[in-house]
Amino acid sequence: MATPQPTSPARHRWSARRWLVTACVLAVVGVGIGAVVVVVVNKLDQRQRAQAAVGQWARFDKAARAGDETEMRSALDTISKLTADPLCDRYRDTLSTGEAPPDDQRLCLLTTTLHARRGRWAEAAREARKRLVYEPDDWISRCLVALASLAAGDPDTAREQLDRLPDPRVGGPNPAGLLLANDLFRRTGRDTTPLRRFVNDVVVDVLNSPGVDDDPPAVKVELIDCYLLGFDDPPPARLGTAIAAVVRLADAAAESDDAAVLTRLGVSCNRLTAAIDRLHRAKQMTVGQRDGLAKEHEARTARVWRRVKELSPSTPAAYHGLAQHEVRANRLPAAIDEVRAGLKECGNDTGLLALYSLLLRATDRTDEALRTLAAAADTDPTNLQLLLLVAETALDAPRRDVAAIALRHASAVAPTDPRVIRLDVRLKLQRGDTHGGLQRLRDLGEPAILAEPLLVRIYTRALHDAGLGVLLPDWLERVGKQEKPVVAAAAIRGLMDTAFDAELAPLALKLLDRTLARWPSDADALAARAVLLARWAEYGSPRWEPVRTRDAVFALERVRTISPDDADTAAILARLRLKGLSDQAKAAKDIAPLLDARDRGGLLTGEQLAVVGMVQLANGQTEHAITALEAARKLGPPSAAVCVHLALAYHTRGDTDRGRPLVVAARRLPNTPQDDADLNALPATLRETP
Amino acid sequence: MTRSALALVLLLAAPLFAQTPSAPKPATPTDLEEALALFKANKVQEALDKLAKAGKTTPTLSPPKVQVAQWFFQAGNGQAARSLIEQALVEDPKHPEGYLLNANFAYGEGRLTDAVLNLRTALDLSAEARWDAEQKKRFAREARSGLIETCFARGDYSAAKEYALELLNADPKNGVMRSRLATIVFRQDKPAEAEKEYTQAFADDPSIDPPELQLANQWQLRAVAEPDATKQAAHFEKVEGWLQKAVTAHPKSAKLPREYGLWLLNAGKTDAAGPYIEAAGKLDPAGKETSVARAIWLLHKKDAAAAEPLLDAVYKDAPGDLNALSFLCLCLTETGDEKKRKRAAELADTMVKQNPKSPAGYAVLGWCSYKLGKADDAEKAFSAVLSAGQVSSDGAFFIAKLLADKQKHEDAHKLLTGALGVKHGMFIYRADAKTLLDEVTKKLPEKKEEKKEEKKEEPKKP
Repeated sequence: MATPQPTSPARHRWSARRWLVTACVLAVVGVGIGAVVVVVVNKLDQRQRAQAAVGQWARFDKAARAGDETEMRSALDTISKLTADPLCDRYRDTLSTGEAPPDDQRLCLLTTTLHARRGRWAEAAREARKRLVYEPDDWISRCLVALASLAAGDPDTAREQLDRLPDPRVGGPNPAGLLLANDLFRRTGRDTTPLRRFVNDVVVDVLNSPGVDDDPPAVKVELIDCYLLGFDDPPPARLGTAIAAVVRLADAAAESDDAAVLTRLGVSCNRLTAAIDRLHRAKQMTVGQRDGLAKEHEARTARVWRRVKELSPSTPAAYHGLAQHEVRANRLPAAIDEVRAGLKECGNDTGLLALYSLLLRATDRTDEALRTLAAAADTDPTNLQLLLLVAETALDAPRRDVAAIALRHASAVAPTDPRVIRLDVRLKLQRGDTHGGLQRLRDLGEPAILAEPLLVRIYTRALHDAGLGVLLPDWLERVGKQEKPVVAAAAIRGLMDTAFDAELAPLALKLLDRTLARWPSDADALAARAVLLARWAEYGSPRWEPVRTRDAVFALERVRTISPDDADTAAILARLRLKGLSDQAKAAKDIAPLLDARDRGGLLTGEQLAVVGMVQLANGQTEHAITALEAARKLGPPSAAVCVHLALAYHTRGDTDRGRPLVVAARRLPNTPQDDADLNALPATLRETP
Repeated sequence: MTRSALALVLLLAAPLFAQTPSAPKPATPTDLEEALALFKANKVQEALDKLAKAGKTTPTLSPPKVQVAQWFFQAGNGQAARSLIEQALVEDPKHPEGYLLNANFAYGEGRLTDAVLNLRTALDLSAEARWDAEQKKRFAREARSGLIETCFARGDYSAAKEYALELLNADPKNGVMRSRLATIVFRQDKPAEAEKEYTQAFADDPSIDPPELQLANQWQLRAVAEPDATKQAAHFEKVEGWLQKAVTAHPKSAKLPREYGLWLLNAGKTDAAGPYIEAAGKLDPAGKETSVARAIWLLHKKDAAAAEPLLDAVYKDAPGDLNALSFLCLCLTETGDEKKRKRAAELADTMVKQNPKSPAGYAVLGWCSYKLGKADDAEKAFSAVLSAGQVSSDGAFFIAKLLADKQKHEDAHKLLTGALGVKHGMFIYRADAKTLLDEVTKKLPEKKEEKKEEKKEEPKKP
């Protein structure tokens, strides 16, 4: 066992010092560790705050995309609490004033979008201009500046801005930008071909990519609308490849609970119905595929509109959409009921009243329509749209007295509105007051007439009917100098509205050829030219001169390739082929779009039904012909051609006694040379006076 | 329109009477020509002898004294004409031509009853056995034509219609006569029947005015004579309706759009008139009347510079056309060129000298002087207008302008109110007159107030 050694004082001091050192070291270490812990904890908190702030910025961005200003402000407040980010104040100021600092592109985009969403076009354009300084190819900003210029009544600046839009394949517009550009192009009379080409080349691929499934419903609807843009031309083959994707998008968007999005979807679905038919006619799908797709789509469309009605019962579009659905199913009474329900829920909505008027007129209940409209106008005597609707329905009734009253009120509301003037002139023309109509138009001044194709059309007609045809060559010359092909087309349509004038026909053709030399694919000019040639073939001398008739057929066939569903083109072509070329087999094919339209519940005019009846009669479909011709006779206007063909149809069925009075009626009506020829070609037994 | 319609009536009347003595006769023209030469050489007796000699070989010639009376009448020597015709009737009281010419004199002097009595006598005498069939027919036709006009002028439309029907029975395709019948029927307040007759007349003779224009003229005459403002407005509506129908129905005629264009100008619708005047110009680019109408339209539009060459061309072609000349004067006055203004005044002076009875000429002369700064000359010319008692609307404006310059605001106001109160009529300076009226009206109350103040102040004066 060891004896304990006595401790020396130095050693003791050392020992004591060791403990002190140790304690100090330990304390230092402890402080260090504590500091590290504090730093670490602090760092961790900062990181967490930064991460939270990032999340809040994402929330801000999402709110900005949705245009939700409240949510944007809330996100900014949270960010301010989390971090001392000076950007927050900048953003908050911008939201308050609605004006972004000119050097902040992100904020400029934000303010532009916010103003545009709220329809504040001048403010949107102001912000967009700031952005264009740095981003001259920014598609949406350029479009917004153009839109604001149009709204300010400055179409020249709008056109200038649209001229500076980049190629869409380079500029890469988003769906909303593309749709806006399309609208602007149409409003400024600009060729939309580049946009349609972009749809075909780019949008179709986007639609077929899986990325679109993640887009919000509103964007999905915009994509569908973009797809539909491509259908202005005969549908190119690529459009057919995206129909399945589009239908899938529509299905997905239909799950939304946003009534506004669903309303837009409903409208798109209506348009998609016609698109499916077009794809079928362009042989991009079989009959079976078409039928299956159409049936499914019709059900989807109805579902969408019903959902809109549930979510927002006072949305007129829902009733409008459901009524159209019923019309397509050939259930006119149900369509009328839907519109009535809509009028009850939404009050006197002008759009619904217009449809109501149309449906009742189609079912021969014009007086009833007029009563409803007049009652609505009594409660809202300054509603221009409504007053115009009353006047138009009254002119069809014909109740000129009611039309005159409605127009008097409409004139008080908007004396220089071209629609008011157009109907007023129509009333005057109906009354036989051609000169009064002409003077009413001249009160506007020639520049105002030339600015409105509808007015150009009636002015041209009025000049001719007033006995001032000698002024037409100069007038057509001035029309030809306009920068819009639609004006020339309208003038020729005006000439076609009146009795055929062989002296003016070459002049009219020259004008259209000159117009088409500048705008070779303009649909209006092509259609007007085709109609002119058809009239010339029938009313020129000699009637149905072979070269002229063939020219007319070619022209109409060209128009048909552009607008295969156009009922007027189909009817004129069929008549030309039947009467001018005696080719009843081809005429039967020509009336296919008319039959399709009728089968889908579409409303054909009396003249179109007459052509259907004539062609069916010539092809041995006597019963069908009688149905069509009787419908044509009911719809009017009174026509010798309808009476003659109906008489012949009854005679063919063995009911000559029923046909004879029709022949007598035909003789009393104004007859064209073709009517005379048809009358003379009737069997003698039918021509005998009963 | 009113003036042209009245002129139309007179023009229609003129041939019926004028043809009486000088109607186509189987006389040798040389005899007549020689006699006329003698008459012109103041050898009246030789002329009578020549005619008497010619009458022996050509019994269808008018009696010598009747023929010479006619020449005296045409030469403006009514006294000698009447003296000769009386002698002729004493010599051969059974000859209808004397009565026909006597009726012509009476009609011209407004003695309608005398005219009727003479014409009835002529009609009775036309049936005398001494006349061959052709002569009987001619005397009867001329007597009836005269009776139609005279009865029409007397307002005896039933009698006028009866005579017109008698003439038409003999010559049913006479468009001019049927048109006259239509006018008579219209005056009997049967416009539908009149329309039918005018339509038939135009079908029988397309050289006469179309029925729509004739009806427009008749309604215009009725409108102008109508004292009730509401009825007058309704008549004017009918005029416009018929003019519009005329233009629509006859798109190849320049006259119809021209007439309608002028009518619109007279109604104060300058812009509305534009296409019609232009259409007339296209259809008849070289026509004098169309040029004048276009110039009038341009004057309404205050475009004197464009109107001047049109009127100058008309003046060069027809310097005797005083109507066109008066517009040329106005045109030159408004161009703002001093030389042209002087020329205008010279031309207006010539015009007044050519027709010193026309107040319209003095009005133009006064305006030309006024524009030249010759207020005294203007006043002199305007006094001639006022003393004639016939002041046109433009004339009233011219005078009012001078009166306003002379601070005679009340007189100017009265003239302008009267001129602007006329519903329809040529009024090139309508807009200027309205402006002047506004100016003058503003000054009227001030003047009255001033007078009142003056009156108030007067008693204060010691």
